[in-house]
Amino acid sequence: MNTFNRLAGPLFAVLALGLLVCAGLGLYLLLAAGLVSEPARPGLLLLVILAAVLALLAMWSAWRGWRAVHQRQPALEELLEQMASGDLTVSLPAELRGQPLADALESTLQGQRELLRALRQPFEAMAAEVYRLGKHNRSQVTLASQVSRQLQDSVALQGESRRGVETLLDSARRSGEVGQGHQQGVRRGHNLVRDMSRAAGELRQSLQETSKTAKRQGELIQSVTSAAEYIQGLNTRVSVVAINTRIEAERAGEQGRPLLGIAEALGELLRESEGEGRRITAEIRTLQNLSAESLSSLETTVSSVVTILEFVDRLDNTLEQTAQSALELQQLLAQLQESATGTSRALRQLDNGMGDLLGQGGEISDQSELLRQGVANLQQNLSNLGRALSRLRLERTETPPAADIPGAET
Amino acid sequence: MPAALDALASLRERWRASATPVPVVAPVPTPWRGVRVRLAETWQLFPQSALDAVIPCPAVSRIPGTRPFVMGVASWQGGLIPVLSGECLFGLADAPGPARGYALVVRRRGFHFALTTAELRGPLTLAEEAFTESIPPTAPRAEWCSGSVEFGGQVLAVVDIDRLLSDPRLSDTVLPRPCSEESLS
Repeated sequence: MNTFNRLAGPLFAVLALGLLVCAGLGLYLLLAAGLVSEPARPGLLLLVILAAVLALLAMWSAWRGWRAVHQRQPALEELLEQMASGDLTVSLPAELRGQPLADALESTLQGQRELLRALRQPFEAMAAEVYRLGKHNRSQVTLASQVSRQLQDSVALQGESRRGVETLLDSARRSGEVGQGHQQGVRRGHNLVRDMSRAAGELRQSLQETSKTAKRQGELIQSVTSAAEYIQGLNTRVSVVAINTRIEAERAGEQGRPLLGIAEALGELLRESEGEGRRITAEIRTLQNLSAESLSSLETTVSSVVTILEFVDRLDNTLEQTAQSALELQQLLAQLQESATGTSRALRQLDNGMGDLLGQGGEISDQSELLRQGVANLQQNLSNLGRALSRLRLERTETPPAADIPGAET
Repeated sequence: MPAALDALASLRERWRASATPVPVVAPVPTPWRGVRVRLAETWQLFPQSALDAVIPCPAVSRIPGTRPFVMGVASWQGGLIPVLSGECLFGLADAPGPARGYALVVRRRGFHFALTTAELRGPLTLAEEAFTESIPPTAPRAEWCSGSVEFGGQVLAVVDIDRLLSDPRLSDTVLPRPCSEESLS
């Protein structure tokens, strides 16, 4: 580039001279060939002269510029080389001051310094932010992986919960069936209790009738006992007659023998009658005892029937309470079943949501990874930019800025 | 002579072989006859041989100054007959109850009275072999009994009327008077 700058002035002058010669030669050839009409010749000639004047002016101007530059070239080159190496601490020599190029260079240098100062501060802030961003991104990646694992655990726990809810639902359904069976059993028990109550009432009526019959039977037994006692008294009186007959027969001696036979036969009949009477009396007594026992048993039975009726009444009340409780239990089971169904539905929806959430968590993990890579690239680029910026110095005693961004991956 | 004796011996043997034995008449056992009476709440046997009659308990007239077992006198077959309480005589009752049941009219040599009983059964005819000498402990007056017999599932004492009549307590029917000042003086 420096070589080109150094040779640019002469080359431009030679090129302008060559173009002037070519233009004069071309005009001559045109004129010689007669290709230009006579009226156009003065204009063309004027045009050629004008072009020659302009070429001379350009040659003169290029020559002056080339001279102005190449007479101060060593100082400018050194200055430009320092600037090119990033040293913005250079200052223009005193002999160059006042020249347009030097002023422009000074102005440019000043602008670059300000621009560099303006760049450094946001760059450092950006580097710190990028560092924090990278750090935050790493913790975010770690957190995303933890969240993903927790989501997987939650999905597993949710599956167990769903199975538990389904088991609960099944149990509630079975309990409902058992409750219905229980209610039917209670209804049957209620009918049985009603039948038992009716049967006990009929039994009580029958027992009362039997008690009346037993009392009537006792009266009859009493009457029969009186008759038996009367017969026994008659037997005794007949015995007395027989004894007296026998006494008289013995007293009469041989003549009283037929009377003795009659007395003996009467005695035999009396003995038989006495035996039968004794047996009848014993049976009547047994019958009396049995009647008394039957009466007592009847009274006990009536009392027991009354007690049974009370128990049946209590049992009826208890069955009604049990039926009411079974109904309430069934309602509770139905509510539980509805709740379990709703919970199962919600768990299924939650399961779907958790699946979506798991997918989104995976996407977040992927995006976090992409973000991490982007942040790493950004850090790398910022590091490169920092290295580039560090070449630009504003102060002589200034230490170059941090070449690497902390945490940047190289 | 020996020949005659042998002939007599053979004749005796022949007679013995052909003779019809005299039938042995078995002694006819005399049955015991009597009645079953309830005296002092205990059934006992009373012999018929001591009875003159059995009558319903008659209306009696009290005799003052007699012992408690003497209920009084009653009219029977145109005469008066003393009536003794069987309950009081055989039992331990201090005073006779009201006249009820029947009266056993006893006629013995020197004794003619009626003995009341609450209940009686009869007439009975029992074999003599059925009687034993033992006296059941349930008999109220064992000294007036001569034995016992099993009848109807229970052992009944047999009243001996001779022992009863020989008891001096029966003969002495006068109630002893308390000592007065006159008798003491």
